Amino acid sequence: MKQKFLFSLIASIFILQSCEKDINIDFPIAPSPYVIEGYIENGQGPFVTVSRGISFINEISNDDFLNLFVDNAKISLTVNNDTTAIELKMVKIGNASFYIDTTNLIGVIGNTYHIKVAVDGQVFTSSTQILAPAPLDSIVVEPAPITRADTDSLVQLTAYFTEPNPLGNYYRLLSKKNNDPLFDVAFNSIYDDAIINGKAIQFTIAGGKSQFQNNDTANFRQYGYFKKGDKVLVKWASIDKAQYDFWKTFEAQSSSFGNPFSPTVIVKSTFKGAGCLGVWAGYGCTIDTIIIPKD
Amino acid sequence: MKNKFILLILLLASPAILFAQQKFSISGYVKDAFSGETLIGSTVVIKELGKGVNTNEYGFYSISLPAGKYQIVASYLGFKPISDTINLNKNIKRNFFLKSNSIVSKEAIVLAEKAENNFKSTQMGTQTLQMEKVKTLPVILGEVDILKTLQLLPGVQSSGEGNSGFYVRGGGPDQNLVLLDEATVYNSGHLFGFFSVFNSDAINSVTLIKGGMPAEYGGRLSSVVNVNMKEGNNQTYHATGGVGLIASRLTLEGPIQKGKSSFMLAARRTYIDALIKPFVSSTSTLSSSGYYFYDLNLKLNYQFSDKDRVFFSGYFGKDQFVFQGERFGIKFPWGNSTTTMRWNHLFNEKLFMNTTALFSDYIFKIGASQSNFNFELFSGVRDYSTKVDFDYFPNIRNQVKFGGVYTFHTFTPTTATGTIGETSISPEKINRQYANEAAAYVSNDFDLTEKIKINAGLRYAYFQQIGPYDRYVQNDVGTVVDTISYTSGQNIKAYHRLEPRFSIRFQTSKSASIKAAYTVTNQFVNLASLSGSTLPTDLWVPASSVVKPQFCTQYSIGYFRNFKDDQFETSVELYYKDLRNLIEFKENTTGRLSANIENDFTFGLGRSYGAEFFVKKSVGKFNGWVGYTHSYAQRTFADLNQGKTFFARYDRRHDGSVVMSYTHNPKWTFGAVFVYGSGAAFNLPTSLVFFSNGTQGLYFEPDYRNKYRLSPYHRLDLSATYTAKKTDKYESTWNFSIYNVYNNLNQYIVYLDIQGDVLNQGLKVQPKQITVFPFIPSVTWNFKF
Repeated sequence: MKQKFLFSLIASIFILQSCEKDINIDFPIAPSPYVIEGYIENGQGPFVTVSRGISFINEISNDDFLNLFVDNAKISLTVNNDTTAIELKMVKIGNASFYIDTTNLIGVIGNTYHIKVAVDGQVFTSSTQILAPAPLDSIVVEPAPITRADTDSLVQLTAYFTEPNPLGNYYRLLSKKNNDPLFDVAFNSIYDDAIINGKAIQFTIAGGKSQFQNNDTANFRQYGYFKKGDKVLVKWASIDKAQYDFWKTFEAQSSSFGNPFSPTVIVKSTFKGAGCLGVWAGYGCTIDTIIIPKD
Repeated sequence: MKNKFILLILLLASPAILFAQQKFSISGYVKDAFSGETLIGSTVVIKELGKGVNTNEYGFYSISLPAGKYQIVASYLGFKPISDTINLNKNIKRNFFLKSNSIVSKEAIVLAEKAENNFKSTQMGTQTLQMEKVKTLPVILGEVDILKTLQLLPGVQSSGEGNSGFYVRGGGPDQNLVLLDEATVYNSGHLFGFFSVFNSDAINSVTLIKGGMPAEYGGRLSSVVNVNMKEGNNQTYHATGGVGLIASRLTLEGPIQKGKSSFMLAARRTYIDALIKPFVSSTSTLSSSGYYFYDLNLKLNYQFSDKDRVFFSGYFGKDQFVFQGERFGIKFPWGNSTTTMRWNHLFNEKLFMNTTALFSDYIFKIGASQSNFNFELFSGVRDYSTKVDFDYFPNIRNQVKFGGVYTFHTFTPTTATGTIGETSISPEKINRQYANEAAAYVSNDFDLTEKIKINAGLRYAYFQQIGPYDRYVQNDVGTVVDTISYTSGQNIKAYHRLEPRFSIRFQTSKSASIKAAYTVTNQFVNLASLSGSTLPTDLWVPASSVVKPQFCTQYSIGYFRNFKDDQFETSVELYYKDLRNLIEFKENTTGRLSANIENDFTFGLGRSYGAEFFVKKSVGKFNGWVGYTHSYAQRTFADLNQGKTFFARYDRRHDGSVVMSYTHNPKWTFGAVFVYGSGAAFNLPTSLVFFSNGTQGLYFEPDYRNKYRLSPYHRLDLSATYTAKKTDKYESTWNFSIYNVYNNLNQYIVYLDIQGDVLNQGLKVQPKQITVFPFIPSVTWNFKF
């Protein structure tokens, strides 16, 4: 508490007594964009969702969110230079809708996948390639660097990695622990090789951020770490430049929320077509399983 | 175009054509009798002719006249004029030592120009502020800041609440040439721009040129801010200082050899960190966190003879921010240093020369560490320059200036070095950019007829980027497909530019004139700024094969008139600026490390235009000014905003200020400042978007740029200066200031606060505004002995 007080004291002197106030803004009325999110990785079938953006209103409930899913899109994939298109099938889980393949289409390393999304008379297209994976050398369990009552059950995972030549590789790191249904990412999930090209490096595998998004300081102290006894799956994916640019701008935008010095960041969609924001992401990945000892 | 140049050359040669008869000259310096400090811009008038000249930057004047008896008067606002009758039958040297008129100077005159200059000179869009006078105005947190006072003039806007960064006539923050004793200051702000690097105690005067830039200046499109450091008292020793809320200052000055040489040493440091230290336990991680900045100014000068004088001046300033958290530590120091060495030489009564060697350096660093990961980012710019300037006074109707300058620039891009575990991630080489910049100029300020005065000038500018350099050629998606390596000294790209400068004054009556100016400028070094304001992280980038020089043509016209025996000076100026090759970052740029930052740029056009109204009263107990600007600033970039024209971030429809000072008695002086401005332009998203895992993003329309406005800005500041004691030996004053008296919560930034989780309890979206400076009282104690 004392620390928090002192920190805000310093902060307030820095920002010189700045103060914050709720205001009303007349948000412009503009058509909501289509949001497309699609993945395909080696050994797995494609998975696509389509939704609409929502105008700014004061509260957005879970129902509002589920109502944004679009279930009338026609989505087709073509592989490399094939001319035959594979239609994806819409499935509903509750109110949410997803588009999956029912023809045993499996992602293959080296293939390029072209996607075409037709919805309400508009067409959006994108392409992605599943690049050759560049596996991590090893993953080591280490104690978390700080030990206190609330943190002594925590560990960190350190990855050892020899970055392959030449320059121009991009990566995304995902992880999943215990019974989590989905892979999750940290606040920063992507890497390029601009300064590590061809070098042997080590880095900390930060766990997923989803459960830490609330501004709960006590909880947030555990962000990035894993617990003793956790079973952790680490997905390390090679990604292409277009996808990297999407995540880079997306994460930069997320981290700029509320920062007065931060410029506006516009997320770079991988899709062609106006009024659409989205990513068509091919992962050339490896998945490592780590079981963290209880002691 | 060719005809224009022929005309210019004729105009420049006119002194020789117009006056061929035998004359004698009177020349010398005008100085403060008390301190020996030169009085820049003081007036020397020949009564019989009703004509005069102003002293140059070194206090020197020269007048050539036919033989005869003349009454000559030297004057400077706040000083008793000296009148003298001379019999001009040979060349005469005459120095004037003016005594401060204590009654007049008590009256807190803010602008110290000779009032007649308002309508008599050819100069437009120029204001000089005298530091002593600025000190009576209200200040924020007790720190007198010359750059913030400049923002109260028409045509000059603050780059943000309480920020010392500024925009002039719709130009970007990097388009201002900020000179400290002629050395370029690349980053003029401390604490992210909230304070300027200029310690008020070390500064003599500041001149702002926002239009009709004379030929001796170049390299920036919008303005010149020329800051002169004090020389130091060459008669007696003095200490000046102050204790404020966040910083203290101390200046020492005195003669090294009485009447011949002097020194001035000024220091300033903030002490927020020191004030907090006692409250933080030594084991706390905060004990090693903190922030401070400091400044050092030094100036030495020595007069060898009436003909030769040398100056040395230096500035060194540094900001240091340190944070040591639980998981990571971060440390970022940044700062400028400049060095100026000058030699004034008088060849004869008519020809004055100043030779200067300059050094300027700006460095920014971030060091961070987190468990096994250590890294440091650094960037900067360094200049070595030499220049020579001549003032030639052939006769009373002409003042000719000519000279040249050469600069060698080194630009260090944002470079990362460090270690991850035991692996070094330092680059094999730093891809610095090197450039030669040179210019030569000539100008003449002359009376064509009794009513028409002209200032005609021509500047030739040259810029060349040279190797070594590696240029990474990218394809459409931004993947490097080729590298072009240039060897040391190899020409990469060279630019030659001619810049005509022309201004004319037509005197319409005894106290009024119409003036017009035409100015062409090029800018070869540019600030790559994502924020629209100046931040220490911003990078200076030279013109190259990819980045063409920014280019501006400015047209201005104005009506200038004085009322009530020059008690009131008024002006109306209209301007139009045509800007080319402006630089912005491409859409989707995030500001992360880039191998060649040029690859992240896109180029476009701009225009800005407006009207400036100004009324000033410089004399009397009650003085100050009222300024109002109505202006537009637009940009058009093929690759931004769908190619549609958009308003610049600093487009302001209305911008006005009222600055007043009132001397009640020798003890009390009061000051007031009121500011009103249209809200700054900003970007607003139109939709919130979600991904299947519930993370959200913001969607902006393709033509989103600067479509929305913050609410209008206004505030009132008040000050009272109490002189507790004033004798010849000791002076003690207290400045009480209130910033934002009626606590208007001006919007510094508007943002969307998004809380919650859409997968569970739902999201709450609340627009919020941040106000940086609400009601802030402050007190500063200043002393002098």
